[in-house]
Amino acid sequence: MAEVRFSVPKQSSAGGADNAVPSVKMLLEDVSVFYGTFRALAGVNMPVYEHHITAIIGPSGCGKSTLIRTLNRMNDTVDGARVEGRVLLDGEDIYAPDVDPAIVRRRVGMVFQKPNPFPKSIFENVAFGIWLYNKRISRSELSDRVEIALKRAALWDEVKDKLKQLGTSLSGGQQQRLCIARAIAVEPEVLLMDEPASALDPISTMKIEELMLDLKRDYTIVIVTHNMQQAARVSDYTAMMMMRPDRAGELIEFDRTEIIFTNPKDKRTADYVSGRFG
Amino acid sequence: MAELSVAELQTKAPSRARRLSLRRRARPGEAVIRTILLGSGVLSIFTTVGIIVVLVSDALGFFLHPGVTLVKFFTDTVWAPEFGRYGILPLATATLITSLIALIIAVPLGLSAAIFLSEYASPRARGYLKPILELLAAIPTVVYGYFAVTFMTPLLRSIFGADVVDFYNMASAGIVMGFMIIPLVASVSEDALASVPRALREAALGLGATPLETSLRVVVPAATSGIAASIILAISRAFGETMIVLLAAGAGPNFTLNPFKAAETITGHIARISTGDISHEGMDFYSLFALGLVLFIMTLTLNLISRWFVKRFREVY
Amino acid sequence: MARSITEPTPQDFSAVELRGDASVRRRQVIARTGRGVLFFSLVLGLVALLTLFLNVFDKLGGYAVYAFKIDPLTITPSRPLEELSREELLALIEKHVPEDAKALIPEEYGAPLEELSNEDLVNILYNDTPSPETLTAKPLEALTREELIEVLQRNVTGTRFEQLQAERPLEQRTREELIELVEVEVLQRSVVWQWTLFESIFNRDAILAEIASRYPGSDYEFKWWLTPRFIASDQTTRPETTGLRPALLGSLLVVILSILFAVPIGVAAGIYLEEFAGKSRLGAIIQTNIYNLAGVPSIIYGMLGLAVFARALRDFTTGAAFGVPNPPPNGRTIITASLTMALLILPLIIVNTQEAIRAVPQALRDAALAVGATKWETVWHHVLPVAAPGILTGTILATARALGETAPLIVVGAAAYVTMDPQGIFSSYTVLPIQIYTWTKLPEQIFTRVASAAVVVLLVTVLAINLTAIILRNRLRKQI
Repeated sequence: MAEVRFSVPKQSSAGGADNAVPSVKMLLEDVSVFYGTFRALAGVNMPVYEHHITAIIGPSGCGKSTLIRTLNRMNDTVDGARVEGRVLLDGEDIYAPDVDPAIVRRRVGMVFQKPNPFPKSIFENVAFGIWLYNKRISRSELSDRVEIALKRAALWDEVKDKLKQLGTSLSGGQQQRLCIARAIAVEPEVLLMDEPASALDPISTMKIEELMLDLKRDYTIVIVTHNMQQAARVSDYTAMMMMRPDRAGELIEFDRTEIIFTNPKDKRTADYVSGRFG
Repeated sequence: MAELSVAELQTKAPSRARRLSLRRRARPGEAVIRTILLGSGVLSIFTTVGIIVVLVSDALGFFLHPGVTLVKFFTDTVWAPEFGRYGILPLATATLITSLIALIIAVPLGLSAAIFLSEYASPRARGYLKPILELLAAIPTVVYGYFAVTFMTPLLRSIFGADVVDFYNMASAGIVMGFMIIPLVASVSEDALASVPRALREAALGLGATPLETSLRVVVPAATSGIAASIILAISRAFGETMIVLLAAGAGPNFTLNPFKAAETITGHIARISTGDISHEGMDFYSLFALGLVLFIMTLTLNLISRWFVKRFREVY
Repeated sequence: MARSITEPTPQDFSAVELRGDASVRRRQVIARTGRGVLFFSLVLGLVALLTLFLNVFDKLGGYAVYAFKIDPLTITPSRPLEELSREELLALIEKHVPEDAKALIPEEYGAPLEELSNEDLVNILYNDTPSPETLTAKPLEALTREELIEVLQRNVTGTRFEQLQAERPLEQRTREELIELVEVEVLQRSVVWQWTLFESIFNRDAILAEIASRYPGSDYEFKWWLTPRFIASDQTTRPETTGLRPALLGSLLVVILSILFAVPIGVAAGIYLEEFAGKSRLGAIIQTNIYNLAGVPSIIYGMLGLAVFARALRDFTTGAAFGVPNPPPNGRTIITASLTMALLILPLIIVNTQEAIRAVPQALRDAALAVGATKWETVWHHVLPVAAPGILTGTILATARALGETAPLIVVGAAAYVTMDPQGIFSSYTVLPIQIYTWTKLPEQIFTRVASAAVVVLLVTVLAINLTAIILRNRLRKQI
């Protein structure tokens, strides 16, 4: 039984907000996820604040990935997956029956744990998403937008001379930035990142983290991470998840990152962030 | 962490013309494509339905004919539609005898080959032998039929004497059909043996069993249902095989249990009669569908049993 | 047995324990024998199949003895005896009338030979020689090219003459070629006996000796059946002249058409089952159904084709509905065969497509979906290109299957004797395996030698196609 441990601020209209209470981009209301009869996620309530980075942390198997995949309906691809509760994007439930999941994903982009570029050229990797929703786009405009996205992902300088090479020929870190470029090329409002640096070396990880901080200005970011330091370094808000005895994941605490890491209300959070388990 | 003012945020945010509405878009093209995909899937059901409807309706034309009774169909020992004798027994026994001979050849050889491949052969040897097995399974059956007529029949006649062995005979067809089925038995059984967990083998070897004891007493029993599936599949294939029996077994129904005699199988009879300029009405034509229906029911039953075995096997491992 | 744990002493590992007692040794012997038996059966299987190949090759060529069915002199130009001079008539009598008959001439005609009239001499020739008409005939070798062509024109059927002209105009052929043509076509120079390939290679001397004693003076050669002429010629009723061309073209048409019908539908069904059906009930039903269809004997497909395409839809499959003149009887057309074959290979293509699609990593789908692609856009732009080589492999395997399948086409009515190339999709036809079946089934033994050449063509093609597919698939597996 998850209880709401925070008060969700009313969504403020743009312009009239004060800095202390950012506006809510997404809101999870009592969200449970089932795979067949197995309950993977139990009653999660949580806001995602606009232009901030929200980190989801917790031990393995606590439903972090399930939670983040709920935010853009990626769980739809799993046979027998079912979501209860509401997930609001700008106040609209993305699980409402008349909602187009493709458009949800258009507005809520995602970067995956393992870099997964298409086995096509670097250019095509980035261009595909742009082209999908603007099939009459001119070649030059497409090139411009690919260039902007690659620059935004801090990859342009490394690949500008080999745009025709296969995306899969890049190094792991470059591949992951390519995936980020691909995600932001379609100008989503929210960017979900499921352990984006877990498969990468420290230098690549650092680059990705810098990139996130840079992207925060334009995007609302949700990141799943195993790495406490990473959560502490990049995120503004942190959601702490645990697995219940029935193996369903639940949210046990949500707060500003500095509070989670310095003065958590729940003892389990304190134990986890200090590395006593997990 | 310095926070930016909302004004600053807005100036730095990329220009979004407008937010896409979440409402479902009309995608007429995709609806059409989905329908086509679904239709293609459903077409395979129509094939089955078509087979059943065709066989049953034309077989009814046969069974409803005055003078044909189910009892006679299954007990009369003469099949001579032109004289009003419709007993499936001579054709059925020929099918059973050729299939039995084929199994006597194919099961021991195929099974041994499978055990050798999965338990003894080095990965390198397996890498060569498995594709060879596949290639052999791809040889057209008419080639096996040619082999039966031009090699096996003369061989049998020279061994047992031309007065004992007819020129067309069930033994030759059966033996060659056995060769044809070896790859099937071997590859399906090999799949079953290969999916027996390694731990089981190691446990047996660890208890001091020899490799042969391990494979025969532990691995083979563990893979029983997979092996059973392969044998049942082999029976079904033998029942349905046409070209070998058509070429080598005989050109007329003959009620005999002697494998060296000529006799026509169900499939052979269907094929031979439809080769001629058969009219699309009349008892000759309908009787073929009655035979086809019997054949279809037999093979379908065997295939379902075989799939049940495979499923049971998959559930265990 | 509980033992206290102590350092093992050397005796614990004594040689006796490691080698085991007699029962262990017996088990090991059994194990080795068992292994031998298993290996032996594998070898036996392979030997059996090797025999199959060798048997086919054995029939492919060998020493052949020929005989003319027709006396060459009966067909070459000759002069009537009545026009001959007295000297010529006397010379012919001297040469062709047997001695005992000559001795009776004075008694019969009342005067010695030299005193008889020309008319009597002609009568003697007619009465006392076995084939008086051929007495003045020129030997074949003495004929000019024009005479040879004339002989051909006079003695073969009109259609056959046109066929020969179409293969290569007779005027362009050399005299030797024309003589051979006359020997084969008109005189029906045929193989009376042929030894097998291995006999001919390993027993050459004995065979030559036997030819000399059993067939003295006859014409013999080492004859191969698989020749370019055989591949390119039309079918005839004689083993020496028949060819594979209509069957090859028929097979080509049927296989291409059935692939064209089956691949789009099969791939679409495979996509539906893997990407769209999910765990739906309909999907499960279709899946079970496809597994069952894959096990239905091919002859049953033939019966389906017979009842549906050849009978119920006859007006369409013969083209009668489209105004095609002279439709073949009973719907025995290329299109009927192709549709039947398409249904037969459909399960094969569906199952292979499914496997190919299943091998595409989920991450790729996720990537496309995450930029807002719909399910179909994901499949079309990303899943299918990656699955394409696997689907191609399945298609290649299906091609080989369609090429070798015989029984269903026998049932839907491939014609056994088709002399000409198929003229289109509404044409009657024959295919390679049917041709093999027909030739093998013919009573003349020599046709099994013709069939061996067709078997080699079929076998080589089918195995080459399959090998391509296997190599392609193994490469793919390494890539993924």
